[in-house]
Amino acid sequence: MVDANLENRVDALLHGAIDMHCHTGPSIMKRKLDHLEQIEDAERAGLRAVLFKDHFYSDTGVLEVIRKHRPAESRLLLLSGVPLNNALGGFNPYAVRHGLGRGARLVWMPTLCACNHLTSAFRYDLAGRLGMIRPKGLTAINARGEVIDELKVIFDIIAEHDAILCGGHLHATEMFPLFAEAKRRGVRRLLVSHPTFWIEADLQDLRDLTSMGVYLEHVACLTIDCVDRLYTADELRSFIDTGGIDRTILSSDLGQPQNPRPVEGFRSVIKLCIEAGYSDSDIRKLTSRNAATLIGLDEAAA
Amino acid sequence: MRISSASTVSAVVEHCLSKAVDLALGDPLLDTSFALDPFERIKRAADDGFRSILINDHREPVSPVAAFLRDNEAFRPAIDVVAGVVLNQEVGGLNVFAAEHCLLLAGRLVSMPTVSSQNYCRKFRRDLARASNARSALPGEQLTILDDRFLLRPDAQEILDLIAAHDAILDAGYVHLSEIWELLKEAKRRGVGRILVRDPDRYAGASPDEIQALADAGIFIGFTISQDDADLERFIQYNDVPREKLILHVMPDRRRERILSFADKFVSAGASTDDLRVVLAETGMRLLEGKSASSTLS
Repeated sequence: MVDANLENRVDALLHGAIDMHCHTGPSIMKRKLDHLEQIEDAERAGLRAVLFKDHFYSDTGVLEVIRKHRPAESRLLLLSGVPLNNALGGFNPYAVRHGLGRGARLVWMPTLCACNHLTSAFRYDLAGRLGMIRPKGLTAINARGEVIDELKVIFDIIAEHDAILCGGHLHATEMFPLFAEAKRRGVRRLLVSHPTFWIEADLQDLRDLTSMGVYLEHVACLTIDCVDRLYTADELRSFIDTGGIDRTILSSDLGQPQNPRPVEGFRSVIKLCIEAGYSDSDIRKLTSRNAATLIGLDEAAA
Repeated sequence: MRISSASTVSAVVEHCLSKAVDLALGDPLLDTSFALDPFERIKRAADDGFRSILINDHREPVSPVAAFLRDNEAFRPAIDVVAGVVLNQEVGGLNVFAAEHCLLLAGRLVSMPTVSSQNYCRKFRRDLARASNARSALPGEQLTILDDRFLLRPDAQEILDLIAAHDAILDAGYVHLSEIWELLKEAKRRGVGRILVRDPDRYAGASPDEIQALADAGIFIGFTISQDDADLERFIQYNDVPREKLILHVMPDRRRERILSFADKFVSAGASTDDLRVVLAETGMRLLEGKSASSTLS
């Protein structure tokens, strides 16, 4: 039976929410919906912003076309980033400079092309499934554990644009030198997506990362009732409590055909938080305020 | 058949455009239409009467935009849209993964470096220094497709294999003539069937004889009508190129006007209706579709 009070509460919390991790099409990977459908879902629910992520290209160009030529007026903010996988040349400062210059707000370290991903997710074998050329593995650190020089140039560009640096699918052990060097070079917006999945961060890593000023993004895809679920509600609670309400962000990471649509998934993860006993104020931090702070939305408005 | 009047030329141009593909890429140093986004370029091509368009950009992959427009009814253009990718620095230069992504997502053409090429950066160094809207590659990081023994680089060879496997089009970009010949040799050896060289006089530094030699080698030759009458003087260098190897590109700004003006002069110089039809439409379609387009032009 539908609990109307609960649904109303979820609706209210969804209003103004920010989904920082949304996988919609077009993509060479199968997607449940495309950007436009996601935009319509998000507008209906009253979301404040959506950050679109494709592993192979920056969505900036597509979003610009939508923003300029879509007849419907919208207050929804459409955000994009630059994924430093092989298709954009890996650790490519030109891609970063161009993407951030075009309005992207975030730079992802390698995801599907990270050596760590290709190791920890070797059974997933996306390239093999899609009949693609075998990827070239990318790592952020050299054999001595130091950040590679190519990244230093990229950090300088990120700092110049005051953009977000996300650790992608690098290993937890790569994240620490990565963020330390980035901070030294003036990058101040730091993020790790699903730190417990592919990244292999444990609870101590979560504490250590947040103590560096890094935001931790946990995702609906792995926590709500869906095909890709990996974690129980208790585990999600443990991740949030370890990282702290002020440093944790909840996003959808949805768009895969087998899972719910992103906005529906976002509703479900809000429900999980309500059922776990978090206050509305805390849930707003998790689903909108922390993301807004990380992106700098309210600074821009001010 | 000789054309006798301006109105006949106009009618032929109208007919040809309805069968033609817009393959214009444009040079940031020359073209004012760069402010157009891909959607606007497509709309302009549709308004100008083209049948299809191949969109491309020097700085970023546009195949996602092409795929998005194709798949969304609200945005779906009135004409066919395919995309290309230019292997400049922004996609990692000679990056087979960038080429692969394009060809897997609404793409049909892969271009060697244009504005990141060493040849372009050297040739137009003074113009680039003056142009605020046309950033050059960073010094020391300009791209060449040859190795230090002047043979095609292995990463370029891998890209040719990919193009051949997808039966896609190879665009030589703005590399030097010496690079083009190595590229062509290797491309043919690896089974690339369709090759385009744009404005070889301007970018590759080719003489009329060398342009002719490229055409004789089976290459499609693009000639861009840009923004001034000097184009007609330039075109004299292309006069001996077989029409079935020559493609006219026209930038969107005042395009119909420019095509008509060019067509008038082309005809006055002795060309026939068939010549005009072939260079405006038929050759471009054959390049894009990989087959004879003559039946659709009758």
